[in-house]
Amino acid sequence: MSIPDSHALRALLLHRLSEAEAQALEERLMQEDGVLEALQDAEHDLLDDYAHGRLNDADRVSVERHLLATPEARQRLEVARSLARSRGTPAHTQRRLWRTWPLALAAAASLVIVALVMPFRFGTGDSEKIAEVFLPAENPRGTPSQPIDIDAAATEVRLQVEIPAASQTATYGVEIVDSQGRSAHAANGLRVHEVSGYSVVELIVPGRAFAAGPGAVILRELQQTDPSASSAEVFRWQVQVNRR
Amino acid sequence: MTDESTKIDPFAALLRHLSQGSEPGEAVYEKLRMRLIAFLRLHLPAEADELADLTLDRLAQRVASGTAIQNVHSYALGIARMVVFEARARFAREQSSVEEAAYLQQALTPDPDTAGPDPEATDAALRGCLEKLGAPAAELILEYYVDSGSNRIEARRRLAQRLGLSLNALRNRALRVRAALEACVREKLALRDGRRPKDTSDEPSEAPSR
Repeated sequence: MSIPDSHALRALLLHRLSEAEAQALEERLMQEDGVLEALQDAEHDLLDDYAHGRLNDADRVSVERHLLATPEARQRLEVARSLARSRGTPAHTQRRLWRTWPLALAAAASLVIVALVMPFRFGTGDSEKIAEVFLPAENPRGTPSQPIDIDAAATEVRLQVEIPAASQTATYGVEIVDSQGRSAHAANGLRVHEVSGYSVVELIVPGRAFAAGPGAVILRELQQTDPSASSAEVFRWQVQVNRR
Repeated sequence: MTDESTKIDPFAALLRHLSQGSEPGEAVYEKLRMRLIAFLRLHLPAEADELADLTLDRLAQRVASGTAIQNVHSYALGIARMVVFEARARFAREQSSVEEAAYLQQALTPDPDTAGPDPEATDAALRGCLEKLGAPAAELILEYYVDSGSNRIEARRRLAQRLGLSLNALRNRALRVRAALEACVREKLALRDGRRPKDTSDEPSEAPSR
């Protein structure tokens, strides 16, 4: 018998199956070789998705309720988060609810940029230190730099930047530099994806990369069709970071 | 009066019962225990290990008492379901719904001992552990867990093909490496905090070679 597919196992872990479906899978877990390993694999993937912020609200709550109820599980989550940070959070096909509303705000167009570059917190206990920042590819006229307010206690920032003229054949790099031009954080190999009609890449940045004061966020593009080419800067946001 | 020397040790009886196939009884026992823990973690994660041992104790008692058991895995699952039912009933008796909510909330609220460590410390531990695992294992873990959704499946298929492995073999290898990585990070953080690392002797201590 084939191993249950990852969707079914994910649904089991999230307690989304009917009782009969869950019992049938549990029976297979006990009886069949390979199902335990597939379930563990699905659990890792769920934790990774949680760590990357890829889950919708319902799934996120379900993970917290069912998978993060023990100290051991929370330690495993820390490893997942560390792995996510080590990779700069690739953005392929990611979609989460939180992304949609700043973009919807952007769509309103009449809002000033400071309203779009606003941090906010997740409501969950263990993600209180995560701030979120969205940078639209539109420089505010007459504003030398965009203010970014980030909670002083934020240890991570989920940074989402809009790509002005997105290319599906390109990968993107994002670098944060301080006022002296020194690199505070850089991530490469990011891919563009669509959210609410906007092309964006996103990454998780250590909070310390956004030191208080002036700085810049630089977006670079590398065309995969030309391996010999170096990445080219396509956009730069001058920012004024406020940590409070 | 029963002669003590003729008493059947339930655990020994269970191991004998589990030795009937081609695998040694000890290996079947360990596999059964891991599956029970996985099942119980779906229902009562905080007590999964303890309830798995309780389930196995009861299973051993039944075997020792001569109960005819055709499918031991299915039988164990039946006992485990009853153990979950009993634990929930006990919990309901002991806790009001308000207390249960508080208990569950507490389970989600990190205490000083279990609060998430400083991300920088975790990152440093992770880097050290990836180095310790060696480049092939580190590359495997970073590639295996890199994507999401359908990209994840496709990326793993490509990785398996490149390494000349089946998807199942690749998954098992990634699971072993990840378990070793998690154990290593846990140990490094515990040592850094001056705590005695939890015994992880049942977990793989090193990653398999590629």
